[in-house]
Amino acid sequence: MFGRNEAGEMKLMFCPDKPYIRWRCEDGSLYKEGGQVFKQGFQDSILKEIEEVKDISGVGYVLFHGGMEIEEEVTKVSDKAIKAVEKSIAFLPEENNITLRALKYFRDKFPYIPHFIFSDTAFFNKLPEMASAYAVPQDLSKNGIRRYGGYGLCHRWAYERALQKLPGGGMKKAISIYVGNRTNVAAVNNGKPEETSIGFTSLEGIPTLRSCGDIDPTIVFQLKAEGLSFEDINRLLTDRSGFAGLTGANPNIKDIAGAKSGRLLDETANIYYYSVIKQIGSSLSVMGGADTLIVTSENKELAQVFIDSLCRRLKFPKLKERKKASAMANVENMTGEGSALNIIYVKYDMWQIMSEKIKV
Amino acid sequence: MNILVFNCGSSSLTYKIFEAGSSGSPGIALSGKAHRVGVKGAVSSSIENTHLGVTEKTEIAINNHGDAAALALKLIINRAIPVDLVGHRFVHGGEYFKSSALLNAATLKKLKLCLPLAPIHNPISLEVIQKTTEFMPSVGQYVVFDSAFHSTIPPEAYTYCLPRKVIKKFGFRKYGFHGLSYSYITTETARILQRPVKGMKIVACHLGTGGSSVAAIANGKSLDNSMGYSPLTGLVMSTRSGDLDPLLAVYIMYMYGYRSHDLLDILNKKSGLLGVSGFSSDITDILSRARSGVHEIQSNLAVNMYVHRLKKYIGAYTAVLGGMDALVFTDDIGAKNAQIRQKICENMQWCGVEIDENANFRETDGKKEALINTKNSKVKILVIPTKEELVICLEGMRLVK
Repeated sequence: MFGRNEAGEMKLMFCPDKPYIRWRCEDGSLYKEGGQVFKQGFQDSILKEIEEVKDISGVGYVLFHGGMEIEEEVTKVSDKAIKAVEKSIAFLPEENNITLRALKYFRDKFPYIPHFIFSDTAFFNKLPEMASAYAVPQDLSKNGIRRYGGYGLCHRWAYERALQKLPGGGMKKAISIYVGNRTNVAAVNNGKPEETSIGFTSLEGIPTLRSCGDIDPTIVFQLKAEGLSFEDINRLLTDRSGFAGLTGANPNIKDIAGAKSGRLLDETANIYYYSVIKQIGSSLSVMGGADTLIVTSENKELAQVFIDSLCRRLKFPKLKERKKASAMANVENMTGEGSALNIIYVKYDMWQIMSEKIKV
Repeated sequence: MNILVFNCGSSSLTYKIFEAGSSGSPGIALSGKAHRVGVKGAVSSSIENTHLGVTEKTEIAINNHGDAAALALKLIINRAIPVDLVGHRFVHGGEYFKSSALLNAATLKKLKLCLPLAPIHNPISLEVIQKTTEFMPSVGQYVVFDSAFHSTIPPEAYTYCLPRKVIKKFGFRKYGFHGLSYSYITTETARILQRPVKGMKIVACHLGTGGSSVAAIANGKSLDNSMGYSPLTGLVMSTRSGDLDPLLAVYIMYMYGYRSHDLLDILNKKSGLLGVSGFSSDITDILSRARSGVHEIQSNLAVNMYVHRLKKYIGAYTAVLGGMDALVFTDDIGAKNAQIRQKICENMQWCGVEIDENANFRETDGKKEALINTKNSKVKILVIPTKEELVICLEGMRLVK
């Protein structure tokens, strides 16, 4: 399909993006990618686009929620691993089901090549228990009721890239912020996670375009008492809320992070940054301070507006950015003179993370 | 004018009669407290009164707050102590009450609408109001709301990102709690530090044996509080879970078949320190077992979680305030438990907090105000025993003026 043959190196990768499944097929530096609505027969449409499927030598799948069973960041697929993924479905039914279905299908289709599961929660398995536990009775916490975190692939990668930019002990304690449709914050101390804004699911923490973020759980019980079903409540909190639900408009995250005009956008921007700033403060506090703020995003422009606004809004600790005339590099030191923390931008590329780890 | 003040805790009832003159701080004619109200356990419930310098304590079964109020009211009537006005603390006034209110038929009706907002606290306050009406039908009453001090919390802090029409229909938003305490703390902090509230950034920790919360206060106004729509959220409390992924509630009911009201009960009454430790809701008790013994591991976890969660909020509020001038500890745990204060202030140099260990460990009786920071600490650290009843009394004087 790529007009040249590097047999043995072609990698196929999948990531759920409800209601789609995104895919990418790489052959050396050449690639093809796309998204398919996740429904019966999605596999065939993807394979049709790839054409030369016989050259595929390794496949990777992102699993957003590894639950209690998937503990490693990268797991080579076996029957046992598939059972573990099946058990993880309960933690994040829709997305994990997309991963499982793709995994099962392509493993049967290509039984003689290696398949890998990339767990997005694995990095946070090492959270200290005081950060991962909820203050609920022991019989619940023993049954997997805990904070799992998320975007672990992203935060670990961003930390490692930033470290290369600040060698010689320039970075120990980092506040890592993923900016995007699911903005979230992790506190990373010497490469180990100490906190995350994401809890049992990625609903907890900072509000997103369509999900509510932190709310008082009493609200769930009141909605239940009003006769809403679990499905209704789930849909209400994860799909009908957030900045879109609140404003009745359909903003994108760049509008909100930038918030240059419009009263409604100002209001949502205030809520968004307020929530981010609280998470920054919490991260500082649990690590006893920090030296670096990592901003990571797939989108450089978004990261740039975010850094601009954050520097303006955060009064303590005071951040100063280095104004740049040209576009940011994939890893860029944005620290301005007199800034209390280093500011490092890292371009997040999930496919690259996977591609590097798929060993064929 | 004599003002009788009732202050309901979830398992206690404090009452005081203030002699409010035209000048000076009101004196206390009688003070009393019913302990372990409605609590079943090895230690029985009791009521104690201090009147004319004599303290008497009686062990007696007290099944609910109405019973406790009846005992107090009978004593006051028997001793013929005059009462001109009765003030009550009401935790959650919702959208109905932005400030204190005299009791009348309309107020009473609105109070009843507030009951579900704080299912542990509001109904017991109403019980006490009804007992008072029964025993002292001709005496005026008024209600003071904890949620009122937090009416200055800005939209970015109180808004939940839910669909606008759901917010409108149910009144979902952050309200905040312990407002009477924070109101008192704010005034006292300014008095002790001899500086105006204007320009001062306070992070105040109200750490009680029942509920606990943290508040961000700037220019004398509340900007945020760790409790939310209800008192369930925020810190790890004695029996309340504090912060929780909202989807977890759905998940637990769905996966494990819990009924809605049972789970709500578990999160309010069987979680927090009690849930994690598995044996006690009392932080002092848990601290004493964290060193060794059968409960060591769970006790350590409970203490660490308590401290960790509180540190997260102190950091979050320092960031949103843009710095911190004073860190204040109050209520039973905050004013008495030096070990907890010490742990919280460890490793906080990043925001200018340096605790003086010796000064800290001197303050354990919870009776007087104290500064416990080192000389070099940029942030003043204060211990201030809260006086919610005094705030209720002063509100009453203001209302009938």
